[in-house]
Amino acid sequence: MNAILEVDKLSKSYKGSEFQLKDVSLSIPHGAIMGFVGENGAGKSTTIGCILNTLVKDSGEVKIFGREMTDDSTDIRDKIGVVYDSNAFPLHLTPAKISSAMRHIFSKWDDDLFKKYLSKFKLSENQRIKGFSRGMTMKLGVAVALSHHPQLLVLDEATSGLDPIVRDDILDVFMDFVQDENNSILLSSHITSDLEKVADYITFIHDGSIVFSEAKDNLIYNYGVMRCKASQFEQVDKEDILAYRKRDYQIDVLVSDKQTAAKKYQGVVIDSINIEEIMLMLVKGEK
Amino acid sequence: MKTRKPLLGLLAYSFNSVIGSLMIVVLYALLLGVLAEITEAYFVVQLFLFNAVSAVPYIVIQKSEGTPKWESYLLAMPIKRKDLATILYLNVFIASLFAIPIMGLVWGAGFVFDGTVMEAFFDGGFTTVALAYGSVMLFATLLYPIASTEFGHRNVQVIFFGCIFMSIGISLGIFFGGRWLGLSDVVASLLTIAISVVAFVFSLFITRAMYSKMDF
Repeated sequence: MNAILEVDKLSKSYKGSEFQLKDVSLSIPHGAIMGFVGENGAGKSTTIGCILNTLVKDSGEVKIFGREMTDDSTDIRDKIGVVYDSNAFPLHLTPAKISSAMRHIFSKWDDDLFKKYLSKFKLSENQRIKGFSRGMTMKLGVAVALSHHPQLLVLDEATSGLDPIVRDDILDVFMDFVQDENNSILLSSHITSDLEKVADYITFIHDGSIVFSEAKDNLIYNYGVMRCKASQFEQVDKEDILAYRKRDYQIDVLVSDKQTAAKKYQGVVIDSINIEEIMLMLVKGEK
Repeated sequence: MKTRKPLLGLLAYSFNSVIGSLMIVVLYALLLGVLAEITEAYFVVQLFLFNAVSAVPYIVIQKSEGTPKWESYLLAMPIKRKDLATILYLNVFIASLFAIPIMGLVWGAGFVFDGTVMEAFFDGGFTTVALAYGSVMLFATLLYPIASTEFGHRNVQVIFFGCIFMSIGISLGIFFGGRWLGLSDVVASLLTIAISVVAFVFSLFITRAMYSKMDF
C-alpha cells in the first residue's frame, strides 16, 4: 500500500448551485504532508467533506488505508483526526466533558495524551468553550484530533485566522506528527507560507478542478517566471507556457522547468517563484 | 485496544447537555412555582407544569442546533449517520425524563407550604402534563425531518420556533379532538401522549433515512 489516502475522479454537485467538483484526483503517501490550496469556493472543503463522508459524493472513489470509505467504515474513521476552520464543539462543553464523550467514541482515546496537549497549549480542562478565544478553540481541536493516535490528520483551514505564534505552535505539532512514517496529513490552507514551511506535496484546486498536484520541491526549484519583452514573448514556444501575465513593461511567463528554459531562451531573465505566485499566475494569467 | 461504544459517547455528551441545562430550568420552575403559590392562580400552576416538563428538552435541542459544525464533526468520527439521527431523539427522550424529578421537587415543595394550589393540580394537572409531553414529542417529530431538508438546514432558527407553535397546536388539537369525540379528559390526555409517541418513533425512522443521503 503506497498511499494512505487516494482520491480518484471525485465529483460532487449541489442542487441550485453552479459549482461542481470535477474529477478530483489526489494521493497522499505515508509520512507526508499534502498542502491543499485554492481560493475561497474552489472546492477544498467539498473535497474534504467527500473524503470524510460528511458530504455524499456523486461519483468517484475515496480510498483510505487502501479501503473504500463509506458510512459503515467506522474503523477507518477511528484512525482519522479532523480539525475544521472554526469551532466545532458545543459552547457549553468543557475539554473534560469532551474527553468523557470521546473515550467511548474512539478505540484508542488517550486521556493522558489529551491532558498533555491541553497542558502544552495552556488550555484549562474545566473552562467552558464559550470563554475560549479562536486560537484556544483551534488548539483544542488539534488536541482532540491527536489524542486518539490517528494515522491521518485532515485539517480544513485549521491555521487560518490565527496569529503567527499560535500558527507556529500548531505547525510544530504537525511536523512532530509526521515524524512517524505511518502518519500523514492533508492540510487545506490559504496561507501558502505555512505550506511552504511544512508540506511535502502541494495540490492546487481551482473552480472545482485540480490544476496540479506535485512535490513542493519540484514547484519551488523547477518552476520559474520568465520576464519577457514583447519581442521575446513572440519567440517563446507555446508548449513551454503554463500561463502568462502582461505587465506594464514586460510579460511574465510561468514555466515548469526554469533550467531548460534558461538554456533555450538565453538573454531572458528567469526568476524563482513561490507557491503563491504560481497560484496567481495560473488563476489570473492567460493561457 | 478497547471496544468502541459511540452511542455511549454521544449519550455522555447528551447527559452533559441536560445537566448543563438543569440549573436555569430549576430556577425558572421555582419562579413560576412561587408565583403560583402567591397568586393561587390555576393558570400559573398550569404554566409552571407545562414549562417544567418541556423546558429541558427545548433547551437541549436548541443547544445541539446551535453549533452547526458539531454534527459534521461527529460524522468525521467513527459514528454512523443513522446513529447520529438516533441520538437526536434519545436526547429529547432523556431530557424529558429529567423534567419529572424537577416537576416533582417543586410541586412537593409547594405542597409543603400550601395545599390549595396542589388541589388545583388534581383538577387538570394531568392534562397539562400530557399536553406538555405531547408537544415536546411532537416538536422533535416535526423539527428533525424538516431541519434535514435543504430549506430546513438553511432556516433552522425559524423552523425551531415554528415547530414549537405547531407542536403545541397539534397536541391541543388531539386533546380537544378526543374531547369532541366524547372521551374523558384523562383518556384524551392519554390519547395525546400515545399519538405523540407513535409519531415520534415514526419520525425517528424518517430522519434516519434522510440522514443517510444528507450533506452535512
